[in-house]
Amino acid sequence: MAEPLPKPRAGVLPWLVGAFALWQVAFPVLANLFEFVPRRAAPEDHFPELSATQQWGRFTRSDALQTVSERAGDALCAWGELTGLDQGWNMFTPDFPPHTVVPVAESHFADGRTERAWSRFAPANPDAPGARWPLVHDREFNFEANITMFGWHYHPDARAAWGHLPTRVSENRELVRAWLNWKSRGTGAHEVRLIFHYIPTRLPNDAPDAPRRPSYELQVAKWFPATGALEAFDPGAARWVPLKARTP
Amino acid sequence: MSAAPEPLFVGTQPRLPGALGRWRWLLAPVPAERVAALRIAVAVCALLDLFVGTLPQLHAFYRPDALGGSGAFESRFRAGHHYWSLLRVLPDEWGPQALFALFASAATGLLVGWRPLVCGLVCWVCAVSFWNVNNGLCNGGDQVRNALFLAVALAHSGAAWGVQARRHAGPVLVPGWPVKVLLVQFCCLYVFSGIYKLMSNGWQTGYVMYFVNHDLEWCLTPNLSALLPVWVHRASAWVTIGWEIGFPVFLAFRRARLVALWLGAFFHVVTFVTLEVGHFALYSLAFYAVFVPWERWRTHAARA
Repeated sequence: MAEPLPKPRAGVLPWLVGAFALWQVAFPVLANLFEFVPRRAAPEDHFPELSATQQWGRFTRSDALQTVSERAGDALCAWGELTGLDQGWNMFTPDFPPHTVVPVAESHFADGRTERAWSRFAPANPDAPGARWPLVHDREFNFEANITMFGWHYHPDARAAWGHLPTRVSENRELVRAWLNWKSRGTGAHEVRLIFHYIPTRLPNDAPDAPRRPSYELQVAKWFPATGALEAFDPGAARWVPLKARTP
Repeated sequence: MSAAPEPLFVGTQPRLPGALGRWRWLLAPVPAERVAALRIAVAVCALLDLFVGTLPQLHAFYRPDALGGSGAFESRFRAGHHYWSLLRVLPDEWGPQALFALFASAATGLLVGWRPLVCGLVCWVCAVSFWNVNNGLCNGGDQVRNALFLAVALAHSGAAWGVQARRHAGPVLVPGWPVKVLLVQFCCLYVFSGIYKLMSNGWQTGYVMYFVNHDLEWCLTPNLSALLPVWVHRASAWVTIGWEIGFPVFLAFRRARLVALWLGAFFHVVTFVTLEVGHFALYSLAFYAVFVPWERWRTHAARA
């Protein structure tokens, strides 16, 4: 027979603990489920979008029902943000690219010179890569990955489909600016460009000795240290787009 | 022959209304050794994360002339959101170093079991502060870390194996709900990860793990990935989805639970050494400490 449960003490504290325990058990389930319930985006939901998993739109024609659901979602969101218990678990989805994306900071100087600072994770020889230690530069890696992920699926043959690149750069402008600033520190560059260097992965059905498909690059953004201005490249129109401080 | 000593219950048992008050799954106490092991595992991971993963680049991560600074990521703190960070009010010159020192001290306190409620909450405040002020440095491991610190703080985790452990001849029990909260959190993490994967073409065909394992940045051992046949990479994707979605169900059955837990621990160890998931794998692994029946050691020791 199961042991009897301990008797709660008298007073208000056990009630408070009980209420908190119930809420904490329900919270992750509800918060994750609410990601699938479409909600109308408010201005604070975008630029940058802070949830990669939330479904946007409406789930019902009833304004009252939609609003009640959105207020419930707001409460869950607020709790997640206040406590650091944000939900949304979508690692390595919806897909993973068939190439390695290496970020490069290219400094441009007044005398016409250029200088490249590569990611520390760039392989010296893609055909003979070495192993790395776990954890040691894990956080720097996350910072770069948060930048390169928005260019994961770019391919030069699909240039026209990449008109949204300036929007993605704008959403990630704080990361882009900080990384370019850090990689070009002390160089005195008047312009620093973010370039994604793509190294294609051998396809699963390639012969083991087949040569690797050639690498290619995408200009992504340029940052002007003197003014802090940022421009993004639109591959579809093949032009640079100045980014506003806040995109409406 | 003397009777076995009565168990000692430490902590505040929650009170719930009506039938909820008899909800054994949530309210049953757990052996104090389980949460003590969790506390120690979380503290070890935190110290590794702090001293190996953060300290060597603390300046680069949190100073305005590098990747961070209190004002570098204003968008996270804009109106309509509730993110916060002590580093927003501390000066950039010494704030990160001071908070780091406090964080490391509190994690050491957790390790030795000194005032785990206070140390756990201090760790949580520091963890959330660092997480928010430069979220670019983070992955899902930071959310797991936040959840673990809260649970360790509230779980009376100092009742065993620490400088303030209760001296008692019999079993020491503590409230079980913080462990159950963590369990639900991990079930959600796995199940919803599995659902998102199930909706993806790359995961359905299994090729996603081939490309992850051959990525020259994401993979820590791309030199070894080519040694495995393609079907192994694909099978690992399918096993991952099955294990993630089935995790809560597997836990309900004793034998399936053992397999699921061993598979989970194996999964986190392998991803830690082969993929650039770093502290996510570490903190997730720490959670598995609650499933080890540490209390049996006490029984064996008592018999001896």
